[in-house]
Amino acid sequence: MNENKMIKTAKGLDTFAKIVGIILNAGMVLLIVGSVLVFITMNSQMRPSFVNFSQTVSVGNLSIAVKDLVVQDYKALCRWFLATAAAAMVTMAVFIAGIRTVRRILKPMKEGRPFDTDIPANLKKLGWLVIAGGILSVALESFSSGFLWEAYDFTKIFNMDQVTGWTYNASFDLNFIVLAFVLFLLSYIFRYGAQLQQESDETL
Amino acid sequence: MGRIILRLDRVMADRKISLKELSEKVGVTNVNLSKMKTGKISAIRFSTLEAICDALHCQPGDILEYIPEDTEE
Repeated sequence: MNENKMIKTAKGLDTFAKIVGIILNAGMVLLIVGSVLVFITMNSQMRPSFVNFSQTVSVGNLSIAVKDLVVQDYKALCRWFLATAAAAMVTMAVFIAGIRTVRRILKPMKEGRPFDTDIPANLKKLGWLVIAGGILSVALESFSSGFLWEAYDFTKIFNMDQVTGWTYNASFDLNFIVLAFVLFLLSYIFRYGAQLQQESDETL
Repeated sequence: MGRIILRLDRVMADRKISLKELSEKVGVTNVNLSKMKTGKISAIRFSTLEAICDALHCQPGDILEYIPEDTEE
């Protein structure tokens, strides 16, 4: 009964992971195409008309939506887009690798073998991917947001006579480290489970 | 440390019983009995041992043999 539930859940999760993988791959292709287009227009005289889109400026917990913000440096805006796209591509590549690893974990589970010898190694790999993805997304986001401040004339939304200085405080979400540790712990549990399974298989 | 080996083939030969016949009496598959004969198992349940002893009219000591380390080749 429990085995059937596990097989059913693993099959459902695998289908979900497959769909997420397809979406991520499609997103990656779109990002590459978009980046190439932006790179081409960056150095040409062609200027797309949609660059004055709305932006959100965050001050602490307060987010201010600003429309028709003037682009003061179009090349900086392109650099911001390319940096953001590169950051997104790197993060997505890690996600795609993670999805593939999840599917490798689910494969023996679909066949009713939750304590397969390959699962602990794949769980550990997933833990490292979570750490890599977390660090990369934090680092690349901070890197790309710098270009945005160069691109727009943000000074127009503040009374600059009263602004005496700027500081950028990057905040990091470190939940991914906890998730990675849980995955490492699970890998040890599954390794022990695989050992018990082997002993059980060799007992008549 | 020595090891315990199964002498199932010897007892089966004494009782003149085939693998197929024993598997039917004990309720263990041919494949698993063959693994037992060739020593490819690491443990045996009391229930399996009881069934084998019952089918072969023998004691567990007739099937199991302890070989100390210094006598191993």
